[in-house]
Amino acid sequence: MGLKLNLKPHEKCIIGGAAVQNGNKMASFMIANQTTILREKHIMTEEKADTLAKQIYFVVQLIYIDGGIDNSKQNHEIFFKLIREFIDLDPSSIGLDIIAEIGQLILDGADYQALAQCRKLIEYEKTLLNLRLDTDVPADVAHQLETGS
Amino acid sequence: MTSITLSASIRTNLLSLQNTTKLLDSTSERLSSGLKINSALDNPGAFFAARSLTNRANDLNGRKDGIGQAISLLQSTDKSITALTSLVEQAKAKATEADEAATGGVSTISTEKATTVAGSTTISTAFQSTVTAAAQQLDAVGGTATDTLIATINGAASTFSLDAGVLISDLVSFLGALNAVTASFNPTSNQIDITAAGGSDLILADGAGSSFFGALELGGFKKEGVTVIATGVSTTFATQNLATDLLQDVFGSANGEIIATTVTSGGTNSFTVETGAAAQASSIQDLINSIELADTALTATYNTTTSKIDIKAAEGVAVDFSGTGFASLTLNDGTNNLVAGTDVTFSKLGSTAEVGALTTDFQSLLDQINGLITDAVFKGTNLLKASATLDVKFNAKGDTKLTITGKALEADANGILSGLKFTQKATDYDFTTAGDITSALAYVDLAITELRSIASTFGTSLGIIQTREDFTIELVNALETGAGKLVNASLEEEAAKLLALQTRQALGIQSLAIANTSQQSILALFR
Repeated sequence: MGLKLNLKPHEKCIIGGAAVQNGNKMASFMIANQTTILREKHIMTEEKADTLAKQIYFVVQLIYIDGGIDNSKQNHEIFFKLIREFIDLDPSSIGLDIIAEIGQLILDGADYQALAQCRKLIEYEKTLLNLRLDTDVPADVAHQLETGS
Repeated sequence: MTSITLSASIRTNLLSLQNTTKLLDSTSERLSSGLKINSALDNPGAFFAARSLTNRANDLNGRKDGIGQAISLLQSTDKSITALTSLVEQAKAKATEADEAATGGVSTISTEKATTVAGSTTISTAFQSTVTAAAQQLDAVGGTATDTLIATINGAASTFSLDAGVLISDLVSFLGALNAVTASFNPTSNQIDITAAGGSDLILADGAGSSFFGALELGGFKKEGVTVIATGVSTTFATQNLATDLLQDVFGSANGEIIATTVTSGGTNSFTVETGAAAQASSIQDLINSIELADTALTATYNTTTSKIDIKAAEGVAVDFSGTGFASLTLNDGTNNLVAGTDVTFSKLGSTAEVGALTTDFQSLLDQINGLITDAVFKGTNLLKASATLDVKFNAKGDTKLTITGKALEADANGILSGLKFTQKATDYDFTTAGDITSALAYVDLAITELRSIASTFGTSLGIIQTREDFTIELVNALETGAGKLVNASLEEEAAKLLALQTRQALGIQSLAIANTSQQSILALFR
């Protein structure tokens, strides 16, 4: 299976454990075998992981770069600590569903897809953090929230 | 930062003002789908969402059972391997005992006892004048500029001149620089001690016109404690029963004689004896080195207890010695003297009295080993037999899995435990037969190495599977905890959770404290 990669000038990426930076022209090439590939826009540094969901992304990223579930035992503990915390704070089943999917994808060895789910989790978290919630909710709104209508 | 006590109407207005109507719709829809009440009738969507999570957990539990079976099998196999290793080690002990008890066959080739050359071991100066330190000048203890000392070591002469300012320590250095001679200043006796390699002949005499060294001022030299005052002092140094002794002294080897070592189907080396001035003269060590150089199969050492050169090799190695220098060595294989150019094969064997019982014990242990391998079954699978393969599925589809292959250790149709590196069946071992003791020792060592390697391979598989089991269990627990909370949640609780999430974010994120790995440093490059 080959993956075609087009890099913009000066774009960075990780290919098979190497930190690569493109020169000042567009680059286009194909990677013929299975290896870790992370484009710049998908790379999260520890500093940028400033929310819980982003930290989950960061740890799953480490698992991916380490070569998957069998090689990354030292990161499993942190992964579970973070997802438990998220599950605990998540007011709905949406996060739980995404996290279940992340876990199963990691077990299946589909770490790249697991990262995509982590991005979904980050988006979901964003909406939660931006949500304004009134504790003193009028009856009609409460009814609306409860029944979903 | 954010206020959470806006009234509902203001909130709606604010959100729409911020043009986040779409966001509002989808968010409140999501939030409402997550709110739980106690039965499916009240809020079917939410109820079933929780159910699907429980189903996921059940699927994961199913996978866990398969993994659990594999772990039990590997642990049981590991126990079998430990028991096997113990049996092999017992077999090794029997073979080792037989090796020690066996007196037949050839295990060592030795020279006849080396002769010794009598002589002095040390001679010393006998200064009469008061000497207090090596730094003293020789002209202060009676020497003059015309005095010279001629030192002749094994026929090679050197001259020492007593020039002005020359110190005792300079004389020490001169003597020490002679071939095979060691000299040092003895601060207890305040004399110079002189010694040389066994068999060396040293003559110390005054040069023409010199009178210092023989005369009363210096006092001549002491040999074995007795002062000898003469115009020349001649000393032959005794052999020291060490590998540094010279071949010419201990074996009577003559200059130019050749000793050749040849290993059959192996290497060869030819050694030429040198005699004369001791530094070039061949020592026992030189001969030993040349024997070992012929082939790595040979080891040669000088045995100071027996005063013989011992040559050993592994079972089956055949060696012959030849050359003009062969006769003076008188090599013996433990029973007979060697004949020049004729092979001698190293091989141990014992009498029935010596090794009969040990042979029976060894055979019995091999049979027990085979029995243990046959019995290493766990729930129908035996990983120590060739046909066994175990597929450990990590997901329901089975496309993520680990295949564990068994090892063929059991006895084959001929009764040979070749998987354990044995090449004979148990009943073929007979320690009264040349070769069987040594081969038994070799095979048990190979078997132990093989068992260690197998244990390590299975151990790695076990580690991988256990990591996955742990991950699966933790995931199931986390999901079940989450699903359990959802079913009973209320609106207030959801609001409280949301508040907690937002507050936590406001308080800042804790560091992950991730162990420093190379992967992390790659990510650091993208800062």
